[in-house]
Amino acid sequence: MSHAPEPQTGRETRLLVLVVGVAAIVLLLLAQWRFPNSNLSVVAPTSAPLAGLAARATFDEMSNALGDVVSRVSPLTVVVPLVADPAGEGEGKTPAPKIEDESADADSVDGDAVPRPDAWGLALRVRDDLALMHAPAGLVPSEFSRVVVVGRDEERELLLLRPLDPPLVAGGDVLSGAIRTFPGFTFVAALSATGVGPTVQPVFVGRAESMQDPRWSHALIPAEAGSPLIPGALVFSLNSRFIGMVVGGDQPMVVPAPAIETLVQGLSMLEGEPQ
Amino acid sequence: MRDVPPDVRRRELGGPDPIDRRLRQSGPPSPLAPIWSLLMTRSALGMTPALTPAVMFLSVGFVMGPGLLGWISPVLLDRLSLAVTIALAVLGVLVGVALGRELRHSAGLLLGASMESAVTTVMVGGSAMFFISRTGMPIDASLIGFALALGLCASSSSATSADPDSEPAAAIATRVADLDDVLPIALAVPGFAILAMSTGANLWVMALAPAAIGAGVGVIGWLLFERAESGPERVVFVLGALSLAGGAAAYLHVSPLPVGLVAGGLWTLLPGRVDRVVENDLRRVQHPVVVLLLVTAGASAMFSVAAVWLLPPYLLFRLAGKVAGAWIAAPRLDVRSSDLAAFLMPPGVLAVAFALNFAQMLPAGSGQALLATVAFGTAAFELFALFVVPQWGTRGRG
Repeated sequence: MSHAPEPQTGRETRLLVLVVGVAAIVLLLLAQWRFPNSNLSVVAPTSAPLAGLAARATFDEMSNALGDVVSRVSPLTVVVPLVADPAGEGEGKTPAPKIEDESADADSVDGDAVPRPDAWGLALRVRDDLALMHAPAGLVPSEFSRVVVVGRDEERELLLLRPLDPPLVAGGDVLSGAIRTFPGFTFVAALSATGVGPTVQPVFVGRAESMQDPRWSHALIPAEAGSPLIPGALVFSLNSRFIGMVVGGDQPMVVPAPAIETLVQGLSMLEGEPQ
Repeated sequence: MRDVPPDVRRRELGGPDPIDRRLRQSGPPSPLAPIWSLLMTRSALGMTPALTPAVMFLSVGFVMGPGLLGWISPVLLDRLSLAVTIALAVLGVLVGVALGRELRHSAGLLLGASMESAVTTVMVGGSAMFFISRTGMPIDASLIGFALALGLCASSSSATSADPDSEPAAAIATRVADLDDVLPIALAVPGFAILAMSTGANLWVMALAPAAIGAGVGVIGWLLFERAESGPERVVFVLGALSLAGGAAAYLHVSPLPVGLVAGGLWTLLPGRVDRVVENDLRRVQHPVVVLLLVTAGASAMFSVAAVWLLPPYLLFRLAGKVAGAWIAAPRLDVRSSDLAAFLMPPGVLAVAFALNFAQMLPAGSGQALLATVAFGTAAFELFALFVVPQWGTRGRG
């Protein structure tokens, strides 16, 4: 073999210019599009390679399962700051549950600061452009929230919202993939809202005999079957399938997915939303 | 350029191992032997073999994975994570051994191969950064870290379409393909550090741990391997050392590839025959390691909008990067740049190894997108080499 360097011929240079030029032009053309309103697929968080070898207590398994649920379903939820409804004050409605925080209005002293909300609500994205949330009477989304109220069901204390931010994942299948018949006697994950995002509590749901309520199209599950289930919480199974939404009333109830589907369709038609 | 003994060429995918040799020696010829030999003949009917390991086992893994048949469940993939980490350390050792030997023969070849891989890394990483920021694609990780990871995955080459003994250009391309993995493996160290910044990890630990672990494992192996009293005892020592390398890297959340690179390089450069000992023992696990990595990657890769979105710039700029890198490096290597670029098109198992490694470190969403992009890109380039590379190469040589 010779030691003389192989000279670059004109063909080699033309090939280089052609390939790089075509790549650059195609890239510029492709970059004109915007990424569609679905996102990186939601998958289970990767665990450390050694995690599988470590001895774990049963509660560690539960912790991992709950963390898994939060990471999977958080993109399907919207945290909404709630404030007392100015129009509803003095009309005999239930007073808004105030957060016991003496510094609640401290942030609003500064004219530019966002006022501290009275409560946080957690909305479930039932479609890519719609979310459903339980809001106690007298509370409405804050003007600083990233949602627009498109429908209201005062009897059931539910709001149909249009989030201003695009969904992190295509959320249309959250209801279709939901558990239709909940058997009970199992742990569930109850998601509720905080100022920094959704949080989760494990709740054991015992005997869950469904009850008919004339306000709802499908039978409900009494929330007292799992004592910490508070109105507004979203209930998921430990494998991240939607079970239902807890609503208030005389007795908190878990509204199953079929009833929510029916309600959303009704509210959407009422407000002229496309199906 | 000086001729290199055949044993120097590592051929991470195509090299014969004891299983190959045993298969070739065994029994009477099968009735299917003519068809098999036709498939395995280089450039038969103007095409290189279709059954490259990357195409075969990525497809097998994809079909068996959770996305289709579900025979490989997410739980099993999770359990395989540690085995993958050790397999990555094994690949790092193979590259380190090749590096140690080539350094003795030709540092210029390493420089040329590093230039080629650096150009590919920059072009793919830069185009990915531009594309992601312009299209508003959401990434749940550092954009620089993600783009660097994609670029490093793209820079790997295996030259599996080339028979290293067929012609001088193929011989050089094979050695370049062996050595162009060194710079990306070294760059994986800062890449991991960038990705770990958001987790609050100690950057000094991230930067220094791979070299420290690799040096420790290298010294342990150097002291132990040649003192083993029997073959099985030596195999236990070798596998134990590699498990230590992979396990320590996993514990500290650093890449096992540079750990293995340092250990393999040390075993070659230190006095004695430790590198030969390790090489002989690793030959037994070479094919299982490749199959494990490819099947795991195929099973873990899932179609997503993000992966489909990233695939076109990845394919285009890996092609452009290889052509540009070869154009820059070829004058130093006594080879036509078009020939070199053609032979370097197949990414091989190291691209998949890089992707699996970064997917372990990245947040789940972007890790999945990276792995799927690289897995599908690897299969696409193997097929691209099947149809285009021979014609491209021969036209230039004619």
